[in-house]
Order: sequence, then C-alpha cells, then structure tokens
Amino acid sequence: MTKSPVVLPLPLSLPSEVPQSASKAEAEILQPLWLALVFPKLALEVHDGQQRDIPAVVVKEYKGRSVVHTASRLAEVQGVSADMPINAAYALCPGLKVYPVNDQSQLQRLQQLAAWAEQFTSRINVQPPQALLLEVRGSVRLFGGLSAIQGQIRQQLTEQWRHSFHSAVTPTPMASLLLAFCGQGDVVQNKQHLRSVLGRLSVNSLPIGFKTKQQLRNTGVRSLRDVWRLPREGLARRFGPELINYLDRTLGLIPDPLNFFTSPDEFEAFYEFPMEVYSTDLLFNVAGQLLQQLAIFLRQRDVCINQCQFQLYHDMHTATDIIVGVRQATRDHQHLATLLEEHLNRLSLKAPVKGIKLTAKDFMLFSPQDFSLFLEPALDQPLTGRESDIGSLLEQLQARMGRDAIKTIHSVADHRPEYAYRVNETVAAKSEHIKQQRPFWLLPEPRLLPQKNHQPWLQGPVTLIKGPERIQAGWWSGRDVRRDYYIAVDNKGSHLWIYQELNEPCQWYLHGLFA
Amino acid sequence: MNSQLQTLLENNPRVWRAKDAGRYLMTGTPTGHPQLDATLPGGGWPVNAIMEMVAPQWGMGELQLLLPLMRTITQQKRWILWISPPYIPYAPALERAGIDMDYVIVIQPDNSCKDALWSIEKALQARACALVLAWLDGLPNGVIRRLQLAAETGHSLGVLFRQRNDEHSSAALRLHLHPSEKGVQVEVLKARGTHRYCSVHVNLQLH
Repeated sequence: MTKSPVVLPLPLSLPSEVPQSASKAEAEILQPLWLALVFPKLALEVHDGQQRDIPAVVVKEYKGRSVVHTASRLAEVQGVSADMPINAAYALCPGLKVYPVNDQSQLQRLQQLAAWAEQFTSRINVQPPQALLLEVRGSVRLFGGLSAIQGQIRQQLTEQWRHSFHSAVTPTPMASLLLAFCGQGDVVQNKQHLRSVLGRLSVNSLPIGFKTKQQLRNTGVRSLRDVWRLPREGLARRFGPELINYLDRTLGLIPDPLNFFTSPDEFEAFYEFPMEVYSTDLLFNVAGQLLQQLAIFLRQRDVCINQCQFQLYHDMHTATDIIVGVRQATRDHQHLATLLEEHLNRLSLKAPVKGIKLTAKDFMLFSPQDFSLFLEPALDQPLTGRESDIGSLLEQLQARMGRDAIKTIHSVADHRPEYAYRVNETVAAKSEHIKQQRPFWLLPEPRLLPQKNHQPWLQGPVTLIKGPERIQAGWWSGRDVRRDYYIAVDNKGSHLWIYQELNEPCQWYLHGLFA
Repeated sequence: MNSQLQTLLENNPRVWRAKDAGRYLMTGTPTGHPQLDATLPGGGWPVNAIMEMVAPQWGMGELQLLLPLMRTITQQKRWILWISPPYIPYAPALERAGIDMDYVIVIQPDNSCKDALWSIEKALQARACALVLAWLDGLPNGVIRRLQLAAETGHSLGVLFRQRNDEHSSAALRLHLHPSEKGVQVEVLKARGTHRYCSVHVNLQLH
C-alpha cells in the first residue's frame, strides 16, 4: 500500500530537473488562476436581511407542488432540506417564513456583485444562478498575494454584503466552480495537481444529468478518482461526449472560453420606501445614500459626472424629476448632496413619494484638482488657483434660482448700442474699445420720452449737455439704426443717455444712465 | 474691568470702542477719490463689511464712486457679483473704464427678495468673490447684521444700493448721495470708527 503514491504522480517530474523547472515557472505565469465564488443561499439572501435569524425558506414550483429551493441555516437545523415538499417543511418547523424564488433579482444581485468584484480583476464571468468566476492571476502581485485577495473578498462579502459564500482557486474555471459548489476551499496553483485534488469529490456533485450519474453509480463509480481510472474511449462510448468534454475542461486539457462581464455604462440605483413619504428630510437622507453608491461607482471607474438625475415616484401621478447639475465635473457626493438640498428646499411634493431612483450617465475621465500644500495665500494677493471656489458658489446659486438667473456680460464690436454686448457667451476676441462715452446702465428696451415744445420731457425738462453723436448702422441686417445720441441731465440731477430717431416721427428715447 | 467684558470687547468684531478708532484707521481700502479718502475713517472703503449707498435716483455717479475699487478687484482676478441691478450693466462702457468683464457676474433673481438676500449672503461668504453689489429696498430688520457677519467670513465688501434712507441700519458705512454740478455730493450718514459725520464733494467725470 505504501508503494502507490510513488507509482502514481511522480514519473512526470523525475527526468531532467533543470529545464523542467524553468518552463514550469513560465507556465505558472501564463496559467490563469480562477477564483470561484459560490453563494449557496443567494436565493434567500436577495429577499431581505432578516432571514439570517429566523427559519426561512425559498420555495419553487416542481411538478405542481411547492418544494423547498433554499433553506436558511436555522431551518436546516430543524431538519428542513432542499427539494422537500413545503408541507413537510411546515410540519418540521411551524414558524417557517416562506418566500417565492425570484430568478430576476438573483441575476441582478449577481451582476451587482460582479460590478463590485471589478476592484479585484477586470476578467469576471457570471455563472447564474449563484456563482461568479474571477480570473485573478494578474492581480496577485498587486494585492500582495492570493491570500490577501481572498481576505479582502471575505471581509467585504461578510461585512458589507452579508452573503454566505464558498470559494476555491484553481487554474481552470470548471474545477474552481466544482470545488466551490462542494464547499471545498482548496487552492490549486498548478494544473498537474488537479486530478488528485478533484479525485476525492463524489460523482453526485458533478453538474451532469441525473441519468448519467445513476449509470456511473451502477458501474461502481463513487468518486472522481474512480472516473480517472476508467479508459477514456470506454467512457465516451458509454456516457456520451458531454461527460468527457466536461472532464477535459475541468482538467484544462481543452480550452474553456468564457464571456467576461462588462459593467453597465450607466449608473442606476433605486430605493423603494416601505411606506409613503411626505417629508423632504427623509427623501434627502435616502438620496444621500444613493449618492454615496454613485460616488463608489464613479471612483471604481475613475470617472466623474456633470449631472445626475433623481426621479421621485408617486401613486397616480407622473414621477417628479430633479436634475442636479454641476459646473465642474465632480464625483464628490457631499457636494452633490448640498446641491440636491437646494433643489429639495424649493420643491413642493405634489403627492407622497413611494420610491426614489438615481441615474447618471455620460461619464468623463476624472482629473483631480491640485490643492495648495501650504497655507492659503493672503487675501490681497491675486487668487489664481481659486476659481473652483466661485464655481461652487455659482452652482449653489444656479441650483436655487435656475440657469437663467446667472449671467455674464461681454462686449462685442457693434456700433448699435443694444447689440454691442452678449449675455452668457464667451467672446473670444476682445472688441476694440469704443472711443465715445457710453453709460454704465443700459435700459433693456429704449423708453419713449414724452415731448413738450419739441423737447424731451422726463418728469420735468431735460437739458442736453453733449451731442449729438450719430449712430447709423445695421441696415444690412434689417435692424436699421439711425439715431442722434445726446447726453442730458434731468431736473433731479440724473445723467441720461437719450436719442432722437432720425426717421419720422423723430421721437425721443431714453437708452441709458451715466451712473 | 470685568475679564468677560474685556474678552467680549476685544474679540467681538461687532463691538468697537471710540478710543480704538485708530484701529479702524489702519484698515480702509483706498477709494481712488482723494477727497473721499480724506473723509472716511480708515482712509477708504471699510473692509469685510457692509456699506449702504442711498441715492434718490440712479444715474448720478453711484457706480463711478466704486469704479477704482472694481478695477483693482478684477485686476487681482477676484470676482464682482451684481445682484438684481435695476438696468443692464453695459459691458462696453465698463470695459472701457478698465473693468475685466470676465470677473463680473450678474445675478437676476425672479423678483424675490428672499432669493436675492440668500444669494447676497452666499456670495459674501465665498472667498473668491471680493465685492457684492446689490440693489435692494425694504430689507427686513436684522438682515444687515447677518450680511455683515457673512462679509466678515468671506473677507468681502457688500454694497447695498438703496433709494430710501433707513435710519435703523447696522451697516459699517452709510453714505447719502446728492447730485451736484461736477460730480456728486457725498454725505456720510454713519461711519464705524468716527463721530465726525460730514459731507464732501467728489469730482467725477461722469461722461
């Protein structure tokens, strides 16, 4: 009996030690390393966080009867097991809480988990209904060893996600999945050791047809070690090509290509309130949590956003949209929250809120701002690097009063006074300064002045001081201007900029004030 | 003296003592008008404070008085906010007077005094914004005190243009403008740091 280990695994590694080890090291670098995560209680855990402390089951329909799909740990302690009819489960455990199986939410949760796992590797495969595959070979050095990766995964899954899980690491995806499904937390670095590690698993745990399993058992095959001993041709002839194909993929003898998970290019988070909400305070709290999720999402992708959208859902009413926009792209959730607060303060809810959704798209690459390492510069020095300060002020103002309330005004070259400036446009080339005097205040529309004895009148006589300055332009654009401008003083002492139309009927207008 | 009272007097910026008037004399920003500098305590506009300019009507040199200050501020690349101005600030004229319009922002709230006050306060608190000009009348009592605190936090100067003279105002400086032949007659209604209330004529080249 002591001879057998010498006979079986060793002959391969015996001859020519030196070249073998070099190529072995190379092969190890190139060999992928698959970490499988299996969530045995996922069907139960997607429902809510409570079922950990009570006996609970998820049921599925099987041949017209309800049977147990997944049972919680407390239910299992009382004897409830999978595939048991629900009546039997109730008999064993009267206080059982029952949920229907929900494939859709399981898949959603798996995708969320895949997005979460992107912090460990970019090569992730989703294996519905309850497993993930992570290719971690490239991440081992970055994280400082495989055990460090596994430790981080374990910590985050148990503390943040509160999922129970099994994991296994091998060079082939199928072997990792198989080991993890069996609850074996093995780590196999080399393909050549797979046979011996998998050998102890029972054929019952293989993901193959029930009939094939029964046939295998009838031929006296109990574990995979027994399968390895059977001749390959015979196996193929007796059980069909599927079994051989599966075993070859498991051992890495034939390639096993997988589709990699790609994260969604939009962020979407939803929260449904357990009851109807009337106060914006509560809304703000929940929205703050959604924004935090968004911040994590953005940080993982190293992107930032210009705007995000909240939707508040009501009964019998259309949803209320809130768009939070920022002038400078950001991923700071606190900043977004202050802006949202301004929106919520002004919002009057037309109906109680049932749910809230946050969406964000159109991501931009994040480029961090540079902050001063030392003290703030003194205030009488020019503030060069502080434009961001004014940016956040303008965002706040904009959030409260709307986009149109904030204006910049620049001059452009035009002889007609009312066309010589532009609102909210950056004017690339500074216009030549006009030589003539212009008032600081311009009226939005010229105001018609009444006349007395052919002289303009503004609550009293108006005295002309300077002028006229003739402005005659714009005939080409259809907005012809032919005017004589004067500087005048009214009887209260205001300095006015008035003009007389040269076209009939030669009316007088007030156009500006020298302030 | 009571030590608590002592700390209050020394640390609270809102309390000033006549004998400390010299302290305030150090801190004015030059107005650019020699006659006015000579009159105002501190030799110029107050800093980190609220100032009121009462003018019975617009168009009598109220912006000209502030022009040198605005010029310096935009040269320093700090911002000027105009909140609910009565007319359109005419960019060609302001640029001709040497103001960089890249640093001028006009806020026009929708006829709501509350929004205007809120934006004045926020603007005063922001440090990049050095000067806030606001055209508002009928301010509720106590508002100016609050704005005063905001100006101290943001190290900025707030100028409120008003058409009515409201006696009960806690602004640091209150000026009344009267039209005159060659400029404007500035009457100092109140100035923190002095008892000498007087009137001075400032020559302005309005046009």
